[in-house]
Amino acid sequence: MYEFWIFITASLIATSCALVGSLLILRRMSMLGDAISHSVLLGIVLVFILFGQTNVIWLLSGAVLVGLLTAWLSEWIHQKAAVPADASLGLVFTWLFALAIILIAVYADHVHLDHDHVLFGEMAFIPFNTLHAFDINWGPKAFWLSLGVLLINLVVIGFAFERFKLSSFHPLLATTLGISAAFWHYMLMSLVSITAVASFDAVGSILVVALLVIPASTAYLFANSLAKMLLYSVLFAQAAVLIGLGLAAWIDSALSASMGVAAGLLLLISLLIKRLQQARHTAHIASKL
Amino acid sequence: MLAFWQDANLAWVLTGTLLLGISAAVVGGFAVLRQRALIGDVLAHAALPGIMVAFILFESKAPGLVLISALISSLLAYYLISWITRVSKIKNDAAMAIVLSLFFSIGMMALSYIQTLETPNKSGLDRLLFGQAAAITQHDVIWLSWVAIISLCFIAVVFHKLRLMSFDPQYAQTLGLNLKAYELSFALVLVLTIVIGLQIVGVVLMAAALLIPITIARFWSQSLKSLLVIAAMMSVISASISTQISLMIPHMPTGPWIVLILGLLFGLSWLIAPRIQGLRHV
Repeated sequence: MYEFWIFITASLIATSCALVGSLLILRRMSMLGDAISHSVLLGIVLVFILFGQTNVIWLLSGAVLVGLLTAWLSEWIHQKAAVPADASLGLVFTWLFALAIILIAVYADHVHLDHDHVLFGEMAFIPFNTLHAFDINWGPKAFWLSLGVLLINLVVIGFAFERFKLSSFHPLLATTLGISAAFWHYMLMSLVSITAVASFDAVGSILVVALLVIPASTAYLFANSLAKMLLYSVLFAQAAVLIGLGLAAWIDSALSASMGVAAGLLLLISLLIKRLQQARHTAHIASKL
Repeated sequence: MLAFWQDANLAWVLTGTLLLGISAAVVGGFAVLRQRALIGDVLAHAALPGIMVAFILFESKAPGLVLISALISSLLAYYLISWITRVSKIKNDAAMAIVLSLFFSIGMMALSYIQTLETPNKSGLDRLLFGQAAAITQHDVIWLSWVAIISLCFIAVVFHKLRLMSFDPQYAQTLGLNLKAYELSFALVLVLTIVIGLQIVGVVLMAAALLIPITIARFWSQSLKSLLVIAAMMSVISASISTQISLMIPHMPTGPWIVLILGLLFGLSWLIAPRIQGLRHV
């Protein structure tokens, strides 16, 4: 049962990340996950200082708000100040992170934050933090949280699939058809913030960044439509979770790091396969000439 | 200000942050103008696996070993990004995020493996990435000065070729420039600055020191030379003010204040620069 809860939670998180990650890389905003993973520290610190709360729901809300602020501010600076998108993202998240560190230093006596925990997560502890209601043990909290996040993602992406597709590939056409590109952009930003923050607590920020971009990029190599890309990315994410579990058991290493490495290996192998196919294709054409 | 110079340690901190700031602003300036603003963030994270693997192999965290292993690891990351974008349709931003998370995962995997080992002096290994500006010593400053001098001399000597390579690579190639050699030497200087800096100010703040100054400078100028000079000036201003702040308020970290002040300078320039330039045109 212990391994089962870890696997199922990681698998749910991987699915959510793969779905929003695919939409993210199509918009060339892959570094957003990394940016949010740093800037959420400010949200957590602020909730701590302003409200003195350590309750998970409070910390999550603070973190999601700062995640949204990161996406919103960097987009705003990019458009209003004509700063390149990546530079404005870098400016915003490092600034918010620096502010968080200074606040921690100022309120050092009151803030007891485990930065390592935010960064690395602790998957091995997922099964122990369980939800109790009506005298029944409902299983780990992380499982219910990631299930909820996945449902939100599925509903929003399922409902707005055509709109996401159009505003990703043909933003101008979308605007002409009366679809607000800005609205769906911020909707995606919200999904990324919620998904990332909910997953940090369970699997750590490193794995979230990896799961957001790597399976989606692997799928991008093979897919020729958005629907296929979403499907493949989910499959690659599941494979990364399974291989990662095996890898961690084999060399006794951290679970989340092993899953990140597994995702990366899958991508590198896919790249090599693609290269070989190309080489064979070129040789085939050359032989016909 | 007098008390400031009487405190030898703070003088070292100021010298160190100034040197680091200037070389980061100039070297990072080129990276940002080549549309790789977040490369500093990626390469700083990518140093981790090198440091960890070197520790597993040699069971030591001697500064020289840490420096060389981090250098190799970050250089590898730099070339992996180029390779991925060259051989596939994966875009630059995705390639950077992939390399960042893959390298950091490998590093964390190695770190968790190290923690199962029976080796002494393994503690503090993960701290190498978070940096401690207040702990700058005379020794660090000597290192930093060398790196800063080498980077700035390099940029000054090959300025014209670097400019050509960055903004018109095709033309540079037709002129017969050895692009690969210049690319490698630029990567080396960039990675050297990052690896030295990240041990002092940490990963995130290093990324900021590379990209914010040039972003501010873009409000004030169009020509590459003056952009780089203004970027260096911004670094100097923020480093001086933040060292002064850590002098006045005890236990205040210097690195985050540098970034905070850089951010404020950005906002200020955004507000003021267009007006001043508007006046000039009248």
